[in-house]
Amino acid sequence: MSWRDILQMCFHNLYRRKGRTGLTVSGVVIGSCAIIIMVSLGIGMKESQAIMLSQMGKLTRITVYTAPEGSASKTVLDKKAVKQMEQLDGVETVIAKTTLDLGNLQVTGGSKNRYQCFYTTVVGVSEKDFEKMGYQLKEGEYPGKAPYEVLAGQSFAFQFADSKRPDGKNTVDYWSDENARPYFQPVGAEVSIVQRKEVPNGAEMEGSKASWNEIQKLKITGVVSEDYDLGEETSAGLIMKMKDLEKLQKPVRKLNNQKVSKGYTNALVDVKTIEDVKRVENQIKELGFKTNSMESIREPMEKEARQKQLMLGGLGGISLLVAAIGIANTMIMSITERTREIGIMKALGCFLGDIRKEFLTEAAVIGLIGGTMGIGLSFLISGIMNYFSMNAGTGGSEVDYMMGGFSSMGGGGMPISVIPLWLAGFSLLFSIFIGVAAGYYPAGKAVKISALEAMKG
Amino acid sequence: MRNVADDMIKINHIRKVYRMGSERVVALDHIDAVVKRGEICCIFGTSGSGKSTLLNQLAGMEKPTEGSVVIGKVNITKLREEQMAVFRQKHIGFIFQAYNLLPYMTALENTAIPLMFQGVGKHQREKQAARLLKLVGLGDRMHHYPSQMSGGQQQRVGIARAFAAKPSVIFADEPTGNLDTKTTAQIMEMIVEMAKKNDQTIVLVTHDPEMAHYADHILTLIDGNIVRDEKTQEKGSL
Repeated sequence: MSWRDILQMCFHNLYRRKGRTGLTVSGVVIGSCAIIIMVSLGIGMKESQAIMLSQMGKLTRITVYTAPEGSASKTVLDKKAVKQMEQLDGVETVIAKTTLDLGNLQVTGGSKNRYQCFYTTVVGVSEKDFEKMGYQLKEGEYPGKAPYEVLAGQSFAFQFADSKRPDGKNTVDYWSDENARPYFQPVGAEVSIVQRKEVPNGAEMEGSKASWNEIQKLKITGVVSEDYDLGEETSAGLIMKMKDLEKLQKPVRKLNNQKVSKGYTNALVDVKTIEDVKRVENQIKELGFKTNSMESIREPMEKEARQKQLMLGGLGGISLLVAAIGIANTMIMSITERTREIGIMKALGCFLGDIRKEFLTEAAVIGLIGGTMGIGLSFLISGIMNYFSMNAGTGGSEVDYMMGGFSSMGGGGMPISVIPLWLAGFSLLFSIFIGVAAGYYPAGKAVKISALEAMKG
Repeated sequence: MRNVADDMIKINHIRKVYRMGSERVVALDHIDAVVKRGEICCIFGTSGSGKSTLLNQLAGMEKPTEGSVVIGKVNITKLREEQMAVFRQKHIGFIFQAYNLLPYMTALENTAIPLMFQGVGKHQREKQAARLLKLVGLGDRMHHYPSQMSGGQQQRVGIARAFAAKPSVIFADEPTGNLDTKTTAQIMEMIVEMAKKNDQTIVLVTHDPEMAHYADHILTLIDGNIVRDEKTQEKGSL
């Protein structure tokens, strides 16, 4: 028999028993739908996690620190170490950064130290790394050749208090007022790193109880946009050229009675893909450094997501298994009913292989129809679920609650069910496979039916 | 003069014993016979005489306990099931008492079934089927389903189907058992005429003595034994 004839015969037989075929198909529809929806929830969960994590920070970045004082390894984070890290497989860039610990020093601005900032972060980054870092200039330009030209963080200028105003009214509230302006324009302004010296009481006139010992003047050439991925200094700190900062290290530390430590404070290692993070991080640890990356958060989350996905997929799998038993049952019933027909076919010289093919095809077609309809239904259900979860807002819909609240954590409007093409394709193939597998035993039974059945009156 | 090449079916010492629990039932005791090419051979016997069992052995539906059946030059008792299917497709046609048409197929499709099993293309096999249906007088009912036809019409489709693949032997099991006398005569005449035209052999099982009129070789069975093996002088009684 040609395949065309087998197919035609198979459709004839399925159509002849519309009701039963329909019920069996609906079993497969439910089964494949369950698998698709369950897995799609898992994928949706994973995707919103990924988005949530990326909002928390760059996923491909590893921050490297020198091991803390007193720990076993004493590897210095220096040029050599940076080079070593650059050569690791999968590493894209390594940017060294040093933080200047101001200790009891301050930064002041305006004439006669009128504006005073008590705390800020000052970091040094090599000139050539400014662009690699990806600083976004908000205004002004990058520091030029002249020494001690610096970049300021977005809200650096707001950190200053005006010493000529009374307490409580001497700062600019830039958090609640969008149109707030700082006391001075940062670009082009000069600020100083100073040491404030308390003068013994009564020795001076009222109003100037302190004297200022200027350590270094800095000229702000530009302001960068706030980006915590690049460091807190982009918000309220200063970014200096590494060579300038290195020159400042000695006097500043001396004034603060700090020991001079060698090397950079930390390094930002960017790897090419998320998959590289764990391996590179371990390799850097082996070099004797402390590291930090989103991986420590991402990995357990991913593990949990994977477990949930497996569990959900398993639940879907059970329903498809039930559908498979349904197919087998339907086929066995159909064969029992068609015993005589099969006998006639055999008596008329039908090949055993063709009989087997015919029944396997019937089972596969049930799987195919069920699988196709299952995909359609899944997209519908998925769409409805996403519609409701997105419109439920942050109140936390029930579905969202079921999913452990991941979708709302990832910011509202995230789809909770995602059906990629591979999932649809896979479930269709799986449904067909289930059909064939379920049809195998009944087909074997059909083949064993004797031609003598045709002779029974 | 006996021409060996003219022996269509040779039945050699066939014995068939069924086990029914601890009982052994001898359905065929000891059968020896030869059916010539082009013969209309009638196996005649009452219910329980073993005539149907004999037909099943001859057509290769089941294997005898002892002995062998040779059709043409092939010992069919030695064929495996898959080989038997090929042999049936090429050499054997069947006419059943209950017609045994497939209900979801039209007269045309039913007639073409043996050719379909052989893998003949739809166009070609339906051309042949249409020719046969016209021959049995159903040219105007080719697209009717079995449920839309009378018993006699269904059996005519059955006959067309049996002849479709041009087999050398056609086995007929009480082909007119469910039909009235007038239709029976029409059907029998049709079978005999079509077989004679192409020198095809017919093996017919019946309990109806009237059938003897159409036969040129009669085997009478009683209790699993051939009690009479006679050839009629005139060929057919048309």
